[in-house]
Amino acid sequence: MALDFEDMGSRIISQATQIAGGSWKAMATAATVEFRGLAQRIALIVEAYANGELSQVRAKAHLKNARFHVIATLAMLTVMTEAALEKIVKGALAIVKESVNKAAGFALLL
Amino acid sequence: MNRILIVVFCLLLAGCTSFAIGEPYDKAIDDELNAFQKSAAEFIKTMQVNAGTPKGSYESDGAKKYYAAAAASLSNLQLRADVLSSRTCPIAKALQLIASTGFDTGEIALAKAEGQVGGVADKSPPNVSGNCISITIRNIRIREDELEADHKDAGRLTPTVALIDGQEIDAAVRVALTALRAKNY
Repeated sequence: MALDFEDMGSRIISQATQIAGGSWKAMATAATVEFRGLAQRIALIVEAYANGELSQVRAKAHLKNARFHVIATLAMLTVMTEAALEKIVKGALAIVKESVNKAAGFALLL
Repeated sequence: MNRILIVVFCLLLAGCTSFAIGEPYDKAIDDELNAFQKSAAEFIKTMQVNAGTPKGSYESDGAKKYYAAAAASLSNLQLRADVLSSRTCPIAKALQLIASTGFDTGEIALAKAEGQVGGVADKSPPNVSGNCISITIRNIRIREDELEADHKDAGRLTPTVALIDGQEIDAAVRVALTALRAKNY
């Protein structure tokens, strides 16, 4: 049986689109949760300083370190992007392997 | 399309039946993060309830025990995360992406808040070395240090401060777990 490149290509693209769409939604949700939460905490820090629960030194330290939460969130989004890429490549490898083996009639690629 | 197929064929012919980038999933880190978050939440609630009494003070036995255990747990987590991969997390690219979507409004909110508390703290650059999971664990250690410093500074944990520290720790653990679990598929 001959290899159907057209079919293989469309299956890879379709699967990749599905993975990318799902991953993008998960990333957008996670980023929104983190940035909204950060904004709420910034307001709480100002409130705690205003009512005397936090000293000026401590309030400044909290705000300085709030920036690191943004960096950690970016690190999280980077890992999520890489995971999506891994899934797309692994999916494509599986499709090609299956198609080649089917065309060969035996397990040519293991 | 043909280029993609050629790349995939080359990967297969080269024996690449598996493909991975960055840090792998580590169940031990996942479990320890859950245990840490639980103990932190319990400790903060206990200290808040006992604020103003010897049991809720920074000098209490409960506080000393918790801070020592938390520091040891986070130190071990950092070590485990550091050895997941030797690369440096490529967050510079993500920073560009975020800037292009207009998310830098967070910086404006921070600058405004700093004005309200009497100016900025020192502007020393943050430590962004290490892999991506290492950075997320470092974020948790910073939150834990904040909790201890707040407790030490005031001698007790008042409701709003307890809320801030609790939320900061929860958010930092959530970010680390989300990053870690992205590779658990």
